[in-house]
Amino acid sequence: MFKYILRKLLALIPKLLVMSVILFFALELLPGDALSRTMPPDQYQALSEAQKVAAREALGLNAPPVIRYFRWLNQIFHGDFGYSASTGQNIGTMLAGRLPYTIELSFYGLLLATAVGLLLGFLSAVMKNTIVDYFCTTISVFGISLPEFFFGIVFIILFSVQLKWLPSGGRMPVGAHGFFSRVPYLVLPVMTMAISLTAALVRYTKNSMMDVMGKDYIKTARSKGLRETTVSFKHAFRNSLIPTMTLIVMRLPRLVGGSAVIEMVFNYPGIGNMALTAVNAGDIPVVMITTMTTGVMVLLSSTLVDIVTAMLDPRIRLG
Amino acid sequence: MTIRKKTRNTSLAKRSWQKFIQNRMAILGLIGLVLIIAACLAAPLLTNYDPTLIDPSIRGLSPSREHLLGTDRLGRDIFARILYGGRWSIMIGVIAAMGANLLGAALGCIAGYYGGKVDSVLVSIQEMLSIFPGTLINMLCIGFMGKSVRNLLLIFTFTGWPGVMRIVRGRILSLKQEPYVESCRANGIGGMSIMFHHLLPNTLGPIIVNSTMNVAGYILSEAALSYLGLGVPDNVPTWGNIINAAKRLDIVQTLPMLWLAPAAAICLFVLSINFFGDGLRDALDPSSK
Amino acid sequence: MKRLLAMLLVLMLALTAVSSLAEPTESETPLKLQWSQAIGIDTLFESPARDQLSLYPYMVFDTLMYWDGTNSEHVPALATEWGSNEDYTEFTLTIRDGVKWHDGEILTAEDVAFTIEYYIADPNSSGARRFQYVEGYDALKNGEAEHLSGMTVEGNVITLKLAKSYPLFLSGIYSTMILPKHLLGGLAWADIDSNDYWKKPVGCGAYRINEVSFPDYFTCVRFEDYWGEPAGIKNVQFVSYQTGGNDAAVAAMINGDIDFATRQLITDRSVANNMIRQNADLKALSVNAHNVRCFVFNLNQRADGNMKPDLQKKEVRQAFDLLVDQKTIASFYGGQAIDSATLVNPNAFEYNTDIPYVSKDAARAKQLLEEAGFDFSQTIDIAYYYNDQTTADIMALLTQDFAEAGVKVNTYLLEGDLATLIYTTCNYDLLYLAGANSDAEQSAYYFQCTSWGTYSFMGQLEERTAMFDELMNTYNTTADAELRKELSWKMQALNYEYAYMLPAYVLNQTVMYNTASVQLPEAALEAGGVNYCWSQWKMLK
Repeated sequence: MFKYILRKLLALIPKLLVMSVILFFALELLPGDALSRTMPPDQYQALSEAQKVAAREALGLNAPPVIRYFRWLNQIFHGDFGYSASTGQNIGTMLAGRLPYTIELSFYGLLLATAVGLLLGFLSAVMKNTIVDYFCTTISVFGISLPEFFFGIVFIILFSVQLKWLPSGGRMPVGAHGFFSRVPYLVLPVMTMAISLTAALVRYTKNSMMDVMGKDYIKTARSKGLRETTVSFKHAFRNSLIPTMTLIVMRLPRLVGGSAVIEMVFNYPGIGNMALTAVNAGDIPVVMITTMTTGVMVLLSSTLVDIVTAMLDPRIRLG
Repeated sequence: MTIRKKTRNTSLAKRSWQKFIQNRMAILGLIGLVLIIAACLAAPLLTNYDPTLIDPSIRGLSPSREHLLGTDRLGRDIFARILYGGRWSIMIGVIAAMGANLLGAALGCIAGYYGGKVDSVLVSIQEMLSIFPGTLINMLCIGFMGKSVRNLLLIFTFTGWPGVMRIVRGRILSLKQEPYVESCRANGIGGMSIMFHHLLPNTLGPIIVNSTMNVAGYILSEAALSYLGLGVPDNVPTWGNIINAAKRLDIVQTLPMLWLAPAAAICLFVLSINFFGDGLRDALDPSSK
Repeated sequence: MKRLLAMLLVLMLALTAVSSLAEPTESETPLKLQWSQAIGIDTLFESPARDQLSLYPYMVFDTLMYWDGTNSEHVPALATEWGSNEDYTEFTLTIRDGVKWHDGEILTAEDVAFTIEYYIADPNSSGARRFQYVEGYDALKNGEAEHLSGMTVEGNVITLKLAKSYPLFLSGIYSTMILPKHLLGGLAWADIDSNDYWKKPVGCGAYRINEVSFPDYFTCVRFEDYWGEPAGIKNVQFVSYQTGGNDAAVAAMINGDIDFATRQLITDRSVANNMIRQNADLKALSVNAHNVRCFVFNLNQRADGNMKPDLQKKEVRQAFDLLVDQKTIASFYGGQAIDSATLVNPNAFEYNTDIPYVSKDAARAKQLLEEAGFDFSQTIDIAYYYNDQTTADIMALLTQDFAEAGVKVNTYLLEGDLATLIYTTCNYDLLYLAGANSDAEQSAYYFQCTSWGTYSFMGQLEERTAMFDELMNTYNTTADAELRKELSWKMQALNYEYAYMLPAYVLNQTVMYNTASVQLPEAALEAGGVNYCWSQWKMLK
């Protein structure tokens, strides 16, 4: 087992390297560089050649791409993520202040989506082809039919402007950093995030429930005269959870980088927000780091999935 | 996974069709799809308004007999924009889904049939792409390649193939063991021919199901990217772009039709395609009862 | 399953309970401000040399002078006296004595001199060009010299020698925010912006920074040792709202969670009107501004070689002028934009009232184009670089109006390396361009359009030189307001005749505040300029 984990972790290194190479050189191929993309055009144009060279030197853009790539890699290994080209901020500190909050938001989003998704999926499987089933399916499809931002704006109007229950955006009130003071700020984005995730879960839970319910041991349980609710809850639902859990774990990395829209609507300073602003501003150093961070999270989560599956099923690690 | 043989295709198709028409929701979905697509195609018959005609004198009208869904901030008829916009949205969804599924199917075939190094390289690329958050990749690509319908289609194709590739590869792997493949090979039929003439047709079912779902997915992705200002150019009236014009809080409040209408259009279309796709899957998947 | 449901219920109950407790109760009610910023500020404040957006520099730092918009004159701030020689080639500034920094140190003329050099030498500074005529500017900017050779400091008097006569020099530099040399001196110019000083900058303004919690908020308190009249409000909270987070900020303002919003929040008057509809305590103020938007012809070069010879004809350009529907374009801003017949604000002194307003007239335009032998089969490329909805709407309108006269138009968004696309590649026939005049230089835009970079927007180079350069040079070297007005009128008339740049509109700015919670000097704010008069602000609750 230890060997298997080690092998999986070692396999991460080449994957990460390949990813960083692709990312770096893809951005390199684009016209313009961190300087010409981030400066206002009239200001950039007004610079003399000497000034441009000096400004590029300050941003470390004068060396050939290969050298810069290795310099960048070396910096990252030393924990130095560099500076934003448009604001001069330390990217490492930016990440440190944002990543935990994005993860927090995503975590609750996933939690809520899981709860609602399992419930609706369960109901629709147990009462297949009834009005309840159609209702659950419609609700869940409705969730993915409309863009996330739309739910976001509607929630702001409803819960913040009309009802005045919750703040419209931000992460925390002034002067209070504790978890409980942050909760009201989390509710709307978490709800919005959960809506789009729920749909997939409903469908998945329903399908795997139906799969399990067709299995022999369920038939046996029924034939023993157990009540239908006992069969559904104790046997079918529990067993259908395993594949659903895999889906949830597989969703983790998507949550880390996939919340740009929600973070934008609710003015929630997270990593998606940061990536989006950087893309719009042409801030290449920030784009590289945010993408790499998401990539690392993605690869780590998928490795985690592999390891967990291997623990459960010994055939995989031998094969 | 049950293996279907080519010889059984006709009777299977008939059985699948029967199974499909017994599914009420699927039929409802199909009807919805047909209606929406027909309405978009027949837009000139349903409305006399030009979707791009700006008329400053009638800005922000509420629904009336002349303007079924009212007018937008520039005095354009919203109903006409929804119909003509549907053409773009559906076209983007369909072409992107076709592109992604064709690419995925071809790569899946190659990976499954040849195996070995080719397979492991393709599979690791597939893994990387499929676990990476789609929004982020799309955002990056559009942000740096520029907004255009062509770029959007290219990116959707490029990022959308892993799912179908995995499905096709799995099927091919098991089909490869079939005796008829052996006999083809023994008869000197080339790898390409075996792959695309004999193996691929057997994986069409899941590809079709996957494509229908992808159409809906791409329409939604386009809308989300438009919100971020990274979708198609502003002068292309997709449903996403129409909603996008209403993304400001004051417009959401004062001109409800501007978002209600495209939202309803997207919602109906995606609902229809999902029910249709679900029914199709149930009908085509022999393991479901 | 039951456990899960129960957990969910408890969670929801907890959420509602907490949200009702969240109201802050403070004895000294703070002024709640929205902190607009261009991009995520997570670790350091942006230096005033590059931050053009937020309100914080006006609180924490102080400028050399203020601009009194009501009387159109400079009033003393950190500089108590100023003057120049006869031919405007040498300026002196006398720096106020006894001004204290927030850390207790005394401000000297050395701090001012240091700040000027920093504004020039910092590669990211957007405020360098205001000093461009000072002797030694280029050498310092290019890193060839340590100091600005044209600047001398004697006691509390700073002397600046200019390479050419420039009467409006002080109007350009008066708003320079002074930074402390004792904290930033000794660093390489390029390293100043990333120095830890910016975690909690020390200034000499009416407020000092108290608590910083990036990227969410920061607070300021009144600086009790301020040299001038102390601020009227003791505590200030800045809550950060980033670009794109406007809806959240608008909702917060409606709910009374923000007391005052800067111009970044209200991009369109209809946003303000909608807010007032929902909270009658809110009030919108119109700030006079000189932001000009226009369409300029590209008559010089296109990288793809697809030049349109027809556009060299004056009559064709005049016909295009007839196709730009300024009234409708301006109305897209819900009352915030004013349509103007020239590139000067119609309310400004230098505005040429003789120039007739050109209303849209597609039939007349078509006739003019036919007379000029315009080739209707070609497609005119119109480029723009703003990514907002209103710009998209303007382009849609333009496409339609041009089509009405039979002119085919392709509008497209410039993305990526803008400087190259605008000035070097130039693959457009018309460019939607924005620029700014100022209170002192109300016609500066004409000047800017001939001097930006290596490219000139006003016609072909030779034509432009012959027509505008003389006027422009005189405009820049005279302090006589009447003469400047005369010159500006000539430039506006010339542009009207030759139609090199088609005026679209002048964009004013809107700021909003909550009349139930704060009282502020409306007149000073509406006059524009950089004088916020903090002493006149009061909390009502």
